[in-house]
Amino acid sequence: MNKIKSQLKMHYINSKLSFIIFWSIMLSISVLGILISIFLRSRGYHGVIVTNNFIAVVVFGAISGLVAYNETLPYMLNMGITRKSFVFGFIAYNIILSIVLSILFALLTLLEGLVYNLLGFTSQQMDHLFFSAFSKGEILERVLLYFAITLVATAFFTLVGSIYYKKGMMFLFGLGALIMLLMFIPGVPQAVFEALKPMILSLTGDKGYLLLMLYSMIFLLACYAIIYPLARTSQIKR
Amino acid sequence: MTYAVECRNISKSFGKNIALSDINLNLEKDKIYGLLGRNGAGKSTLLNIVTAQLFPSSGEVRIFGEAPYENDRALGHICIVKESGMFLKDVKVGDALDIASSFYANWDNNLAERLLREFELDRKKYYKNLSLGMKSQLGIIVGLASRAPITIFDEPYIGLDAAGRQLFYDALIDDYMENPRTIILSTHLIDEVSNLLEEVIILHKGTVKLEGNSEDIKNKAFYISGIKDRVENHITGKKVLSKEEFGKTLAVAIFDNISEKEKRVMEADDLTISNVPLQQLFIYLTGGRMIKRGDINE
Repeated sequence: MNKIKSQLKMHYINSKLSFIIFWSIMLSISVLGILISIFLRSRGYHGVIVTNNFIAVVVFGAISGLVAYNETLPYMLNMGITRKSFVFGFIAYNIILSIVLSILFALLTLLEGLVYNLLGFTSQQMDHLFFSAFSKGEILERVLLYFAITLVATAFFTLVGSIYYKKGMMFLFGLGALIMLLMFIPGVPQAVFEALKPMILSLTGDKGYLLLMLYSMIFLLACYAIIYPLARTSQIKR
Repeated sequence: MTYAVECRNISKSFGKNIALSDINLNLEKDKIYGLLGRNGAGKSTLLNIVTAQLFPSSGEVRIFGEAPYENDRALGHICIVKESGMFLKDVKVGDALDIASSFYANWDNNLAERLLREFELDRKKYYKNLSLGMKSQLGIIVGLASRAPITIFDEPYIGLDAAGRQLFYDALIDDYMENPRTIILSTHLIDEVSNLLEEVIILHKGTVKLEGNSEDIKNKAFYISGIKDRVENHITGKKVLSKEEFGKTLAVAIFDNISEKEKRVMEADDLTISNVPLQQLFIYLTGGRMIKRGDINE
């Protein structure tokens, strides 16, 4: 447990700078968006305003998973951490990062909502991408929804990072090309879509966000079922 | 006897390249070892295997009797400082020490702070903005302050000037006297460290060329010079590392036991006897062209 705490401390210190830069940009975009909205409103615009984009948060989480895995695995091995402990530490990092990102994003959207309301915009005129499709707007729902999506992205790109670390870039390209080729086989895309359809449809119900949470946790476990043996057999690079 | 580090028949290949071949070593507790070898001799590979960062192709490693792979207890005994890739790039000096302090059970923060002051390192500077010498200094601070029972320095002072290296040697000895531990110092700068080393291991082309007590080794390596015929009479049956002729004079480097009686007889024959410095012995053993007869391990 102490080793995992030490790793989380390391992740915190290591990602602090990029985290601050990212949220400074997000906040700046929000402020800029508000200023533009005021300007547009003064010119008689009354259409929909797309506010801070959740995709940026997902991309940040994904890149963090990818980069941090490749950066910190050799560092942790050098510090005498076992590969098993590293993997458990990284799961904790994925989850905590996703929680923090989703809470901060939810707070940012709330803050934006308040400011836009003060400026006279109605909630119908505002659109947070992704958000409106699955949730009716409760704060907890939002956080859980953001968390689930960020966690999926972070876990998936950690998996990509672990394949890259263990097998190299060419293997990763080859794997990508193979998956793409498989998708060109007649019937395969349809079969994949049919397999996923019930799951996607189930997310549009009232408790869709809870199911999405469940699916994201299953996805996390599935990713780490592959990451674990890869990490256990990884060596430092020469 | 439980050794701090045991290597049994360690071999390692990278594709067709054989990096290490059948390495057998027993490193005792609380001694300072010098791991010497030319570039590409396999020093870093061996140290990475000892710390379970690389897997051997065959053979096994024991740290205080336990295999280090996925073993928290065994790995907890080790701190390794490398010439490069030791720290995260986007971390400040102070943060790097803070992180290190949470990984090493015996971490001495006072020592870390004192060395930070002595090396005049700015704790607010980012690692990526440090000079090569400063990066080495930071590694040295972590290695010494870790107080790990097995502390490994793999070429720790790349870019460090002579004053910085001396500061390191002094700090190492001072701390070792107060807190004995097994220290493995992998280096090229043999003359500078020869007085620090209790045991010496010379790696050459992936094999152990020479291993033993530093003083014993020094006491077996001699230059003998004098009139050619007389020198040749005295070195019959001895392991000769090199021979150089200057007219009627012959100078040889030998690696063998010479008794006090033999020395007196040589001196009576007007032969000059002097010790071969460790660095010179290393060159003889690893230079190839100077070795005239057989392998030193025969």
